[in-house]
Amino acid sequence: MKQPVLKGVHHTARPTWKLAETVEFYRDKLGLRLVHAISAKGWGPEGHPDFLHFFFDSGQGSTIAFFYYIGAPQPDYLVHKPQWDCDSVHTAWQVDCEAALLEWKAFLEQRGVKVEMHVQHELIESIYFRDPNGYLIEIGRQIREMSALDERDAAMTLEAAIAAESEARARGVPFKSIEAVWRRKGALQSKAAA
Amino acid sequence: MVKIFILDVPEFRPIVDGARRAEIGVSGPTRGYYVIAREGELVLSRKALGLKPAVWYSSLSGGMQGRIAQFDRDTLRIIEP
Repeated sequence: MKQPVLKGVHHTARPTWKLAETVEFYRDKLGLRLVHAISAKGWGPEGHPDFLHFFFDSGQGSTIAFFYYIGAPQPDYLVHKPQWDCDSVHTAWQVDCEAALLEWKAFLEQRGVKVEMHVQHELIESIYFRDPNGYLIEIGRQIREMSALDERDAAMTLEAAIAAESEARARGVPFKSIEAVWRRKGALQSKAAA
Repeated sequence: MVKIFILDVPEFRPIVDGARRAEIGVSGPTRGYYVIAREGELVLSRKALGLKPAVWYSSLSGGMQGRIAQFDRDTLRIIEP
């Protein structure tokens, strides 16, 4: 069967227990158009509450969406903690260039949104801020295009990392440092050169 | 021999340029990687290379032969395995 093709992000969705604040933030502070809202009686799984599911335009046909479950208390496991593990779940939007990124930074600050970080990564320069739910939002500009070299490098990194993870598992020891991955990748490099 | 492999892309180029300035052996790029090699130990300084932290902490992402003796915000020291 032929490999099916994806065409980018339609929407991402997360739950909110702060309806008014979320709408105010995305629509009024960020200026994203509220483009669609579903309001429905609970259906499907037993006990599913009535809900709202609403969407804000984030450009290029993509939206960021939220669910608001009426009368359903927020479980502890869905309270967002502003720390590295919880923050790995985040939304990253794209802008065209450095000027556009700096424009967003100034716009956010002018509207009282705290920009927590401005980081130059390998391929993307990004700013980070939070919504009223505590969710982390990133806006970034691509610094350079990804190449075939990046793809080959990624394959070798993951080959080394999976081997390191398997070895730790087999020996019953914790996989606790990136150094094991870098050493294995070095060995793969030396093998390729031989 | 301590060796590090540096992917031939712009964000990692300062490591290669810095190694050359410090007269550390640099070869390549071969199959997309430079190799920086030295007997005994290899020491790099983030400030001397002019790298931002996010890229600095990925400096060894191309692979290495050796053992990390120190890797903090400014100094990376790799010694013989």
